[in-house]
Amino acid sequence: MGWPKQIGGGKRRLGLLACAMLLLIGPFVSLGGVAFAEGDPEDQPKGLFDAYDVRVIRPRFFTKARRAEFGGQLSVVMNQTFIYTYLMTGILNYHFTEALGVELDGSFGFSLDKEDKTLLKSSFNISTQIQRTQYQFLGSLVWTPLYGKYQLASGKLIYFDTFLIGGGGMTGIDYQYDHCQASSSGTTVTPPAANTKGYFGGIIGIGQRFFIDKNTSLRFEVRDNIFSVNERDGSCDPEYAADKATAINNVTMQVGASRFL
Amino acid sequence: MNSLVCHFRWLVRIVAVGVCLGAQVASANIQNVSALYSRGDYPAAASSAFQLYSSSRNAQEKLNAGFFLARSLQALDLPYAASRFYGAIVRQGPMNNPFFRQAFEQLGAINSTVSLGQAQIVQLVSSRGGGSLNSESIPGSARGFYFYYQGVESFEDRKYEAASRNFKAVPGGSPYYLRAQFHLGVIANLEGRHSQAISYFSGVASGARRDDEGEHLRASAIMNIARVEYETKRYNESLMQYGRVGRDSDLWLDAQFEGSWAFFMIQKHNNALGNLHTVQAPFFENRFYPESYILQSITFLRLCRFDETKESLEKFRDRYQPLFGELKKLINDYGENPRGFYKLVYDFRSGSLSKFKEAWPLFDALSRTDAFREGAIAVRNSDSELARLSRYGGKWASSGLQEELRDFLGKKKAVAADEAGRKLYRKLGTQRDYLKELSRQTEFINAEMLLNRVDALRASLQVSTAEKRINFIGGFQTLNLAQELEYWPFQGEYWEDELGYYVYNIASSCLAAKKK
Repeated sequence: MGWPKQIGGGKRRLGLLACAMLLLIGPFVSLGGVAFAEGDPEDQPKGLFDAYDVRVIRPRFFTKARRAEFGGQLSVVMNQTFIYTYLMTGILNYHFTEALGVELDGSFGFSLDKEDKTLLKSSFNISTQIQRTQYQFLGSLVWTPLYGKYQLASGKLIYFDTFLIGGGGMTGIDYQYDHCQASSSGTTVTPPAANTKGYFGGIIGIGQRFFIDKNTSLRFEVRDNIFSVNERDGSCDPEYAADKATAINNVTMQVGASRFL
Repeated sequence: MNSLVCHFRWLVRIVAVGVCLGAQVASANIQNVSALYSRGDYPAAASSAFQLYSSSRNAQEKLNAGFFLARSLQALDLPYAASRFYGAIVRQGPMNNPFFRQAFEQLGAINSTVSLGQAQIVQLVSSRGGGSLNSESIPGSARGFYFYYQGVESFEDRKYEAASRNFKAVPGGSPYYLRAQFHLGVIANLEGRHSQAISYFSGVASGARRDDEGEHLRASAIMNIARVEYETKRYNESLMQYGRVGRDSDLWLDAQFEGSWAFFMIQKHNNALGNLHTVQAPFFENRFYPESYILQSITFLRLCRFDETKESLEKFRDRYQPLFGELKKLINDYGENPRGFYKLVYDFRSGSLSKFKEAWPLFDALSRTDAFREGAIAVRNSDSELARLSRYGGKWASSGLQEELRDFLGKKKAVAADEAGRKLYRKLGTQRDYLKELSRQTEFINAEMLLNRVDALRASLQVSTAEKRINFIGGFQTLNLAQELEYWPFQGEYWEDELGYYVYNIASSCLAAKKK
């Protein structure tokens, strides 16, 4: 409704006229009065992109240092031929700095047979021996080398970081011995009762967090959980089977969300 | 003779019977109006009331009809049309119209939601408009409205004492209270009472509503705090206030630009240049900040970066030299045609202007002024009510109400456009003088550089060193060592989210220049 806001007009004129006045009297000021402007970059924090003449420097949108992160994910083992394995994963993470943190996670889940497995059994009477992952307890170091942003077509800005993880832990394999059947000679073997055995191994992975606000992120990652199982553990007749180590790679894709405290 | 007397007696009898019948008809009509109004049949109530209002010879019923008419129009969501009849009641004064009080209150209420425009209000409340009222007769709930506009009138006449008195009389609960406090802040500053001015503006900033108009008032108050701090050479405090102006505020870019002056004054050249980088970003290519190039050039000059100084001056010339031709044409063509000039600015704002392209930044600046905003609101509301009048075509056309309102709204629209056009045209003249002044300064800076009097020129730009030890990052924020920062390089591509956070990273070349 037309209130005045013209102090600024006066102020700007003040600034401008002051400069104009000073410029006018400039030629009469002795050279001894010259004060050199200091190199301003020393005023600025030493940071990234020092080689650029113009930078954006502002408080970090999402800070992780000295914050705990907890969250949940749905993990899917992607490299299994005859089964689908789904795990619910809980994550607990502590970030010492923006780049370094430690993470503990535990997963528990189940497997479903793929159609191929059922078909082999029903049509060709072929029983496949399966390592069904039932749980994982893992600890890892997390290194976050990348922090970035991108703009959606709508103009909305999405911040993200990319992290690498490496560590180890225990993976539990559920042996159901459902592949055991009578031999061609007619002798019958009594397979062991279904049981779960744990194996130590290591993991590596890469992931990305998409920050949806200053406390919440969506996580997407891919991990390779490498461990070694003893083939004898899955054998229908363990008493007569020899120990033989076999390396297993569980490549998991994990999608979920986490909250920072 | 006898027959003459006889005839006269008959005539008196006929007139008396006629008056008596007329009074009965009128009385029946006001009851009818009242019944229609009570039933919520406002179109019919308005039509009947207008018939009575324009034809009744009974003064009391005419007054009643006028009030019913205004109320019915208001109930039909035609506030401007209603203001026509409320205004008529108020102009009659408290002694001559028993509805004076309610009418005044309703006008205040209408104006606080849909601005009626200063021209109409001044006619009602000001001594200039000839409608001088005794302040004792103003009803309590309309005192804010009345005293505020009395204050505005005195303020515009530069009678600050009288203005202060009126603004202080605006009651605390009135919707005009914060605007009055804002004016009091301006007056306090004009009178050199800076801390009191800040106190007024702070009160406005904290009390403003959370709607669009409230946010604009809050941002204006914060800007003024920053300006007062700047005037009193408290540059850090000034920068802190500029940083409070929200990104979505219309004043945000002003804050960026004015903040660069504050950075310049405390020798934070990289911050000053960073802010100017935002102001000159392509996002704002149609915004009018010619002074930004001058400030940029003298900032580079302080850093002994003479090539960049020249470049800034050239950019100023390239951008604003072509404007002078169009500016001259606008000044010549529209001096006698304020409505046409308002229309030009309006067309620019609505995106339909295709001529005077060089002057678009100026039109943008004009279209952001309160003068334009107020005019545009009045024109838009008048148009909206004019369009809605056709709904009530039949009844209102036969009673003459349609024509009466069309005429009133048409005139209101024309007056609003004329008034806004006149103010905008005056601002156009001010901007021309401002550009001329800036242009003279570019020539002067250039000439001094060519004459090798750079040291003296630089020395003349005396700035404060007292607050230099405080360092700033982007967004007017002081550097806090415990804070995690993010850095993004500027690689020639502007990102919208980065605007307002740029910081230059260049060193002074003065030592090198001195050695030469």
